[in-house]
Amino acid sequence: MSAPPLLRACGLSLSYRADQPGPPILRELSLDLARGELVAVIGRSGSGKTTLLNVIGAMDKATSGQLEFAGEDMTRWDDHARTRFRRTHLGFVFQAFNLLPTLTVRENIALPLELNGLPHGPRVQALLDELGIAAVAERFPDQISGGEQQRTAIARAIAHRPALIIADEPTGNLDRATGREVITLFERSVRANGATLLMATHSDEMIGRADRVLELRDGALHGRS
Amino acid sequence: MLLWRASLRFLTRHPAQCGLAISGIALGVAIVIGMVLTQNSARAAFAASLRSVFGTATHFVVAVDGEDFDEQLLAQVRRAAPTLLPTPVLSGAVGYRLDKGRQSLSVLGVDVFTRHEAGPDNAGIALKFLTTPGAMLLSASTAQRLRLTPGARLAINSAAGAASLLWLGALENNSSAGLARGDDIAIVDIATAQEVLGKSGRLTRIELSTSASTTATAQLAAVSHALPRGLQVIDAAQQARGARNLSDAFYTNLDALSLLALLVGGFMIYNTMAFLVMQRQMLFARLRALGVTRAALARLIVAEALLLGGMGGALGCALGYGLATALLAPIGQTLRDHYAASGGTQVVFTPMLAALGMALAALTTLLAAAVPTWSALQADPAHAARYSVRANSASHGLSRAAWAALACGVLAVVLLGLSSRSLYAGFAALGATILAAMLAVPWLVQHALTRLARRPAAWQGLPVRLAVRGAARSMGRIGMAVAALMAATATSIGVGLMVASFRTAVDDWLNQVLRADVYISSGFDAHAPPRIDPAFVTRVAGLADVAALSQIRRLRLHDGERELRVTAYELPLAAQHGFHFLAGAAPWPAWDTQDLAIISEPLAFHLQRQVGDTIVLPTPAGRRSFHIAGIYTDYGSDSGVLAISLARYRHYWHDQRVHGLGIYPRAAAKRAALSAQLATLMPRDGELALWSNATLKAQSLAVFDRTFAITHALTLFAAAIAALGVFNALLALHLERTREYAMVLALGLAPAALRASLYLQTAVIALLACACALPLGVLIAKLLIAVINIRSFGWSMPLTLAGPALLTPVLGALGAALAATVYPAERALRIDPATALRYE
Repeated sequence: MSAPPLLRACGLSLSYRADQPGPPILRELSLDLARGELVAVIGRSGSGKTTLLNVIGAMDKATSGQLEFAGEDMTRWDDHARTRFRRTHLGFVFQAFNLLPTLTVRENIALPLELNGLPHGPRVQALLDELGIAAVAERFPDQISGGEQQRTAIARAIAHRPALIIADEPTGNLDRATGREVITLFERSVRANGATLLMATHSDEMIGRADRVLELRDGALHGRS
Repeated sequence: MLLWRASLRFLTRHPAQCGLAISGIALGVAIVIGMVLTQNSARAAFAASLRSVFGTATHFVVAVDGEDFDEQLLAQVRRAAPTLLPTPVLSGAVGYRLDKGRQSLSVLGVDVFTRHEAGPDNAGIALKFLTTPGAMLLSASTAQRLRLTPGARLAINSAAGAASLLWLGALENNSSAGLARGDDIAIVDIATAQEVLGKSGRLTRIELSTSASTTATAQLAAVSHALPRGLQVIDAAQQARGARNLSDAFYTNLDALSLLALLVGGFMIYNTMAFLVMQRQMLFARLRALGVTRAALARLIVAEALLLGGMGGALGCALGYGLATALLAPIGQTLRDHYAASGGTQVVFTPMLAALGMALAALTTLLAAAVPTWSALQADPAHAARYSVRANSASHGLSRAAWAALACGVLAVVLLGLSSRSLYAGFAALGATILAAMLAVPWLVQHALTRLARRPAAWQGLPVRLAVRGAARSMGRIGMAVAALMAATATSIGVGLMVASFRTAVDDWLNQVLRADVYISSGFDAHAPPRIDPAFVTRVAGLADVAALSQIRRLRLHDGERELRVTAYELPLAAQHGFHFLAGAAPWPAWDTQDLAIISEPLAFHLQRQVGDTIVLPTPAGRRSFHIAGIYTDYGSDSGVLAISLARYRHYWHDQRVHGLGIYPRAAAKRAALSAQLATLMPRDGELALWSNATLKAQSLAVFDRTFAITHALTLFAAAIAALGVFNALLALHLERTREYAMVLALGLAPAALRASLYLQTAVIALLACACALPLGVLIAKLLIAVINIRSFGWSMPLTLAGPALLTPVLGALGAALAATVYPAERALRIDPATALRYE
């Protein structure tokens, strides 16, 4: 008997607001994410990748359909429960890094641990070493390179050992060499922490490392491999 | 902990913005604390004066005409009511010279053996007070103002001629003594008072204390029964209350002006807080995405607001103290000019006031932060996933604010309709009107800018398009600062127009009323007894160049409830034409033969009397009803005056003396020659002075200008707060757009073109704000004139649209806005595009 999926989406749809007519962004979309799985979502710009990640990351709400996390019905969650989910079970890596400009690299990584009431000294130091950013630990985001910023963002996303990590074009702002370097570290870190990764990407490098690749087309997911 | 650290670092990384926020809060708090402190000091000084003047007496025996009376009466009163501890008092005023100007000092003569609380605690000074001729007690602050050192003599002048009073020194242990705590009052022994005032054997009042007697009512009745006609017993508390009521409207106006400045300051604080929050909308979205709860974010923003509020409050208290110290002298002068009250000489800052300042700062900041905080709490965590979010949710609020403006407008109309007399309702309506305009202006300006931006691009260069579209897009952010600028400009216009209209009305009135060429009257003491006797009048009338004389006799009557200022006139035809009647007809044909009265507009308002009503006056011949024949314009007294014929006064009071003469020369008379003739007739004691028409008018207008100096100062304060707010908003706006400016510079736009665009943007915004301020200013002036002035003082006047009052605030606002653009614009132009574009 196979293990239940970490996340299950079934018949998920999301339309624009009633006053803004147009085709739905997500249409009867279904998806299962197993624990420890690396899944890449590809699709043309504007196909709804970011919207899908936001819905799964409890930052946006689907118009209809079922969404479950570890057997819990996410569609019934109120704002408080969704906030708690993001804080406890989710790590997010953004294309624009989205680090807090007034916190140092070390403090940015420590933030989710502190929000969860977890000790952060040794864990943060380990991540700094693991991602090769210990030398810039006391610098602020605007004092480090794009690659270092994204490594910091990855460290922050995995710091509290979330079950699910969502990444939206994590190498979109990086050059090819830096992107490759970051991808390697990202994959290693995610696998080492046993997390499930769902990422939207255009990077062949990322696609090549994924366990499964899904294409978002006309609001629905289509398997590629 | 990390959240707090991030917040603190944000604040310390934006020192200019924080500094401006703190200074805005500080200025708002300073103006309120300053006014409270000044008024507390003035009221405390006034209370001390009352205590000095009235002692602990509960009742007074006084003459119904306010004149002094024979001291023999004291013995009768003592016989009738020995347990009421009757004690004699003689009060008056003497003149002295200070800085080449002649000023007056109240003199209170008391019997230290019989007056309760009379003696100074300091035994040495008490002994000297009783044994030294011409000794006086003065508060230390008054002595300081008069530049007296202990043991020094003050040269004085009165009806009795030149004399001097000796200041014994500060009463260090006088905390329990009622005497010499009031400012501007010299306490002397009653014999000394009779001597220096030239009133030997006379008394102003006999004080009674019912608290010392168990049969007070019966004793008071016995006193009343024993009094001869023309004397009465009055309630001291009522008298004190009446004196306090006189200046209440003055204080209310000061309160309202300071609250208006706080309202402008509040909008500025709102703008600052909104900026601090909106600038970090992206950051809040990131935090929400990371799982930070709304409550945690709210705590963070509230803590920031309290921190800024606390710092602004502390600074505001210190500034308020400075402001109060600076305002005490002009406010004191106004109180002396109009209410014969002291303004106090010391500002006393109490812990309670500090608490008030801090609470005010915290409350204003929290209220101002409420809307932006609510907006921040709605931060959509999904925004964090996008590359760049320039959330402009505030612009959605503009139309909501416009609806709120409509509601405020309706409220203003309702408040005006609720009561035709309530000053508070009037001020609330004025406040609601200004608030309505402030809420509507950002929406109006944005609409105007949007329409402007839609004009064909052919006639607009890139800098113009950037300026207009940039201004339209930023209205959501800087709307409140624009509203504050508009409100301050409109308030300046409104107050300026009101003062200009008032001044024009007073000027016209003085021209109308002061028809004689020369006046003779007591030079410095409005409370002095009449000094012009019939023989002197005859001598003046007999001069060859004199065609006619007007005569005036002033008296203060106590009708049991209040003091009524009465003026008895004998007027030649030319002087009769000086009266402008607002209601009723000129009563001159029957003026000397019937019991007619005309009342000034303020008195009609305060007493709620109309033409055709009667008013009862206590005369030595008993109570007499006077028929009100007309209501006339008079800007001389806000408590109001009742005028009767001098012939009727003489008929009832049997008194031939008058206070003043107006001299109307013959057509062929030469003014210099007439003045020379009059000078030869003037008594040598200096108690009567010759005043030319021009001098009297100039002095009256000088008092007027002094009165409104404080109003101007407070309005300027509000304008300064608004200018600071605009500076703050523009600085933050331009800082926020640094990346955008860097982008257009990187694309090749010439720095000069960008500079022109930035200044143009400010000019367009400021011009639109001023375009809204002009009609609002006129409306404020109309409300101040037609509602506030009438409800405060009972004065009506036409609105004068004076050019300087309209244009000066507009030019000031434009200048302030353009000046506020200099630093942020030049800073934006100095930034290296590569650096600005590197990190969002």
